[in-house]
Amino acid sequence: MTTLAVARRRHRIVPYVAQRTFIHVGLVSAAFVMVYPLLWMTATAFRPSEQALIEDSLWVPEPTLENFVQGWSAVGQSGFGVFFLNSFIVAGLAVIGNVLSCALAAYAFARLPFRGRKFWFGLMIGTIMLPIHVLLIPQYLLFNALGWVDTFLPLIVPKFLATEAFFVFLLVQFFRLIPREITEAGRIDGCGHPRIFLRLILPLSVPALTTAAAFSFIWSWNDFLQPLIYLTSQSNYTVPIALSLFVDSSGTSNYGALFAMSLLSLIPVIGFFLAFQKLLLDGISTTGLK
Amino acid sequence: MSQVGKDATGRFHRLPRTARLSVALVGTAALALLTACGGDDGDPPSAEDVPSEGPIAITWYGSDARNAAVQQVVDNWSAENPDVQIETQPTTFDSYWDRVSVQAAADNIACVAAMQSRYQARYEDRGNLLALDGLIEDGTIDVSGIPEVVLESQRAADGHIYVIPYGIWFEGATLNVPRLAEFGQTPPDASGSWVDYVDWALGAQPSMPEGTWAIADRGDQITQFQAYALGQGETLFGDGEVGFSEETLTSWFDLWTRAVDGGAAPPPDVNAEYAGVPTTQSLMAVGGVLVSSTGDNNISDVQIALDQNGLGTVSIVASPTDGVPQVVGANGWSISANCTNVAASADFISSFVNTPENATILETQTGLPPVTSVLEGLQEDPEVSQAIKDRIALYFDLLDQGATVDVWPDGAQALVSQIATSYQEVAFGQTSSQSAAADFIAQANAALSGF
Amino acid sequence: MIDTHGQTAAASARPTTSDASADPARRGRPPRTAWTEAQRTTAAGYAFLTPWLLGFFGITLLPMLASLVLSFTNFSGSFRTVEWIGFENYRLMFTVDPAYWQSVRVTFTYVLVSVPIMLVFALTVATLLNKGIAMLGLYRTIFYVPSLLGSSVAIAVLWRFIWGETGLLNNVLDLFGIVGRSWIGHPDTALLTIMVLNVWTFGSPMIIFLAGLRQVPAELYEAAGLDGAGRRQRFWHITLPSISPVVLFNGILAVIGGFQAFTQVYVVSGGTGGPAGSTLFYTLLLYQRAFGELRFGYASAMAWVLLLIIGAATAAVFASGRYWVYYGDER
Repeated sequence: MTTLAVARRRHRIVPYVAQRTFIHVGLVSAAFVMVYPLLWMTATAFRPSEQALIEDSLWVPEPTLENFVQGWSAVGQSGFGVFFLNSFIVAGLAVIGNVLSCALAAYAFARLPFRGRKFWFGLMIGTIMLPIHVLLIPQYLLFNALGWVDTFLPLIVPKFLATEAFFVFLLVQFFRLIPREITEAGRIDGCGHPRIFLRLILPLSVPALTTAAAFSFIWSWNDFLQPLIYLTSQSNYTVPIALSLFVDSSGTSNYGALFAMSLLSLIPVIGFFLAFQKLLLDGISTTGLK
Repeated sequence: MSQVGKDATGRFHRLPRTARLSVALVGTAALALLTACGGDDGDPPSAEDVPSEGPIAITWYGSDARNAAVQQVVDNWSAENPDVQIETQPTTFDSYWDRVSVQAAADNIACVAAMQSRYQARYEDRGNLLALDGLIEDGTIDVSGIPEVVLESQRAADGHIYVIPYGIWFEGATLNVPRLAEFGQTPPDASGSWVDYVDWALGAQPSMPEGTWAIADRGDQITQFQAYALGQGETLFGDGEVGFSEETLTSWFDLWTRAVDGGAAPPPDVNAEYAGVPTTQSLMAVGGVLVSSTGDNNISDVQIALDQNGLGTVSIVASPTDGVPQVVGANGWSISANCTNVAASADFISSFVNTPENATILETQTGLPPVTSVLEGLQEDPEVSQAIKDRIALYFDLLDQGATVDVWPDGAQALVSQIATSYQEVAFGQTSSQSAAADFIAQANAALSGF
Repeated sequence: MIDTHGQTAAASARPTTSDASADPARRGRPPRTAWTEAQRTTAAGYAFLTPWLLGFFGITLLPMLASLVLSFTNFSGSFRTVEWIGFENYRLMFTVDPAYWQSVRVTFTYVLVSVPIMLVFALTVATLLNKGIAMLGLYRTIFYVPSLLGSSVAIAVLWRFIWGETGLLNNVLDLFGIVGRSWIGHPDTALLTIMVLNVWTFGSPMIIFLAGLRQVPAELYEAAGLDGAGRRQRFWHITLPSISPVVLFNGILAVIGGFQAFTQVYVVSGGTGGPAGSTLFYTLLLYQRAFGELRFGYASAMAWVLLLIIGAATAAVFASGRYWVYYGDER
C-alpha cells in the first residue's frame, strides 16, 4: 500500500467520524423532542394527583405509586384487568383477521390479472375515502339488525373480511415489489396459486406482513370511536374507553390516574412494536434480502 | 400504472340515470329494512299499562369519581330489587352524546338515559323518549319534593315531561377575593351587569401586577352573553330563532373589545389559547385573572389548582344579569321509548331522586339534588363541606329571585362554537362587531329553524 | 387489472419468456377442463378475493350507499322525521354556509403544505435509520412514540407547552429579545402548529418506508457498488426507484389522511376549529354538523363531496405514478 493510499484513507476517516457524530447528535436531539411527552407523562404519573397538569417539569421530587393503585380500580367494579383483557381480545383477533384476509385480497390484486381486477381495486381504494363519521349510523343500524351490539363482533368480524383497505393496499404495493421471475419460476414448477401464495409470496413479504400486523395491533388497541359506539356495557369496555373516563368536561377530572393508566396501556403497544422490530429484522435474513 | 383512482370514482358517478336511481332505491330499501318502525301517538302511559319485563340498562355521563358514586347508588337500588337485572353504561360527557345520537337513530337507547337541559330537546322532538306525565300523575315517579318551577321548566313544546331532573347546576361569576385584597381592590358589585364588571375591571387594572388581568374575556361564551341579554330584557332563544337583537350582540362584542383594548382583559391570542383548556389550567385557576365565570360544579377544580400555587381562594356569586332572574341547568333522567321494562326504570328514577342518602353518596358530583328537603338535609349535615353549603344557599337565593331551568331548543348547540368564532373574528380585527353580530344571528337562526 | 401497462409489456415485449413459461406448465398438466389460462386466473382471482368481496358487499357497501342516499335528505338522527330534499344540502353547502368554504381553504392549505413535508421527513429519517448506526432499534422506537400517543390529552398539553404564550418557543425568542405571542391562539399561526404536529407524528409512513427499504434486493446495490456509484446516486437511481411503489402508497395514504385529518386538531383546538375558524378542518366541520347539530344529511353531503375531492387527488397521484413508479412484477 502506498503512502498516497494511506493518506487518502485517513483523509476519508476524519469526515466519516465527524459525520457519524453529527448524525448521532441530530438523532439524539430529535429523539428528545420525540419522547418528551412520554417522559412528561411518566413524570406526571408518579406525581401526587393534585399536581397533575400544574407542574410541567420532568423532575419528580417525591415519586408516588398512588395514581397507579387508585387508577387501576377507579373505573368499574373489577378494575383495569378486564379492560386490558378486552383490548387484548379485540386487538389480537384484529391482527389475525387483518393479516389473513388482507393478504389474500392483496395477492389477487397484485399478482392475478383476472377480469374486473381494476374495477374492484378502484372500489377498494374508494372505501377509505368517506369519513367515518357519516358511516357510523348506517353501520350501527346494520350491526344492530344482526344483534351484534354490545359484543366484540362488530370490531372483529369486519377485520376477517378485509374491510380495512389500508392493509390490502399496503400489501398489494409490497407484493408488487417481488420480481415477476420468482413467481413465474413457481408457475413453471407447476405450482398452483395457493402454493405460490403460501410458499413464495408470504415468506418474501415478511417485512410487509409484520408491518401490517404491528399497525393492526396498535390501531386496534388505540381505537376509540368504534368501541365507544358498539361496546356499551362497562364490562365490555376496552382500555381507551376506560381511560377516557378519567377526564370529563362536565366535572372533576383525574389526570394523575389518566397518565398512570395511559402509561400502562402503552406497555403492550411498545412491547408489540419491539417484537415487530425483531421480526422485521429476522424476516430480512430469511429472505436473503438486505 | 394507470388511473385506478380516477377510474373508481369516475365509474361510480358516471353511472347511467337508471343505475343511479336503483342505487338510491336499494339504499333506501336497506335503510327501511334496518330500522324498526316506531312511534306512537297515544297518551303518556301510566303504571298499569307499561311493560315491566326484562333487564334495564342505565347510561349516564361523568368521570371516574362521579361514576363510582352513581354506581353505588345503582347498586343500592339493585340490592332492594334483586329480580331486575341491571347493566350500567357510563361514559364521558362528549362521548355520551355521540353514542346516544347513534343509538337514537336505531331506537336502541338504554332504558334509563341521562339527559341534560342543553341537549334533551333533540331527543324529545324525535320521539326517542317516553312521556312521563302518566307515571308522574299516578305517583310511580314521585316529584312532590321538586320545586314546581324546576319541574315545569322541563315541559316540552308538546306539553309533556320527558326528563326528571336529578342534578342542578348554574353559571355564576367567580371572584378571587383574597388576591384582589392583596392588590388593594374590592370585588365588583354582584348585582350588576357585565358592563359594570368591565367598568370595574378597567378601574382596577392599574393596581394589578404584570401578567395579571382584572377580568377574563368572556366575549366568546354563549352563557355569559345570555346573562347579558337577560339584563337587557331579551332572551337567548325565541321561537325557532334567536331571542335577542343585533344591537345587543354588537354591544356585547364592543363591551369586551373595550375591556381588552383597555388592558383589563387578556389579549385575544391568550384568550383563545386558554379557551379549551381543562379547568385546572384555566386562567382563573393559574391566577392569571381574578374575576371570571364558570359553572358551580367547576369551583372545586379551580380551587385545587389555586391551592397548589398558593394563589388565593375562589368564590362564586350570581351571574351578572343586572338583577334579572338568571337561568340554571339540569341533568335529568329519561326513559327511552324503546324500553321494555318501564316499570323498573320509573322506580329507579324515583328512588334516585328522592332517597336522601343518595345525596350523601353523590356529594353533589352530579349537580345539586333537585328535591328541596334533600338539599336542606345536606345543609344541616355536619359532614358536608362549607363550599357545598354555600352553593346550595346561592341556589336557593336564585330560586327565590325567580330562576328557571333553561331547556335549550333543538339546534342550539351550534351557537356555542359559533359565538366563539364570531367573537374571535372581531377580536382579531377580521371584521366589525356589527357584521359579526349579523353573521352570527343569520347562522344561529339557520340552526334553530330546525334544518 | 392494475397493470394494463405491465401486462401488455409482459405479453408483447417479452413474448418468448411468457410463452415459454406458460407452455411447459400447460403441458405438464392434463387438459382436465376446457378452461383457458385466463379463465383459470380469473377463477383464482375471485377465490382469493372472496373474503374481501364478502366484506365489501356485506359490511362496507350498504353503509356507504346509505350515506349517499341520506345526503339527499334532511336526516337528523331519526327515521321518523326524515324527508327527501333533493340537492338542497349541496346547494346550502356551496352557496350559503360560510364555514364550508373556510373549511375547504384550511384543509387544502394543510394538505398542500404538510403532506409533502411530512413524507420527505419520514423518508429521510427512514433512510438514515436504515444504515448501520448503533442503537438503531432504540431510535426507531423513539421516533414512533409520538404516533403511539396519538390523540392523548398529553399532546394537547404539550402543544400549549411549546406554542403557548408562556411556552418554550417564546422563552427561546425572549433570549434574542423578540416578544412572541400565543402561536396556538392566533389565527395566523394556529394552523401552522397543527401542521408541525402532523410532521411530528411521521412514525407510520417512516415504518412503512423502512419496511420497503428492507426489501430492496442487495444485489442491486452490489451491482451499483462495482460501478463506483456514489451514495447520493445510489439513493436516486437504486433506492428510490426500488421502493417507488411504497412511496406511492405513502403518498396516496397521506393525501387521503390529510383531507380527512381530524383527531389532532380535535384534540388541540378542543373540537372548536378555533381561533376564528383558522383550524376548521373539513372533517371537523363535518363532525360538528353531524354530531353537534345532528344534521346528518348535510354531513353526508359534505362527505360525498370530500370523496370526490379525494378521488380526484388520488387519481392524479396514481396517474403521475405512471412516470415514476417501478414494480418488481413489471421488471
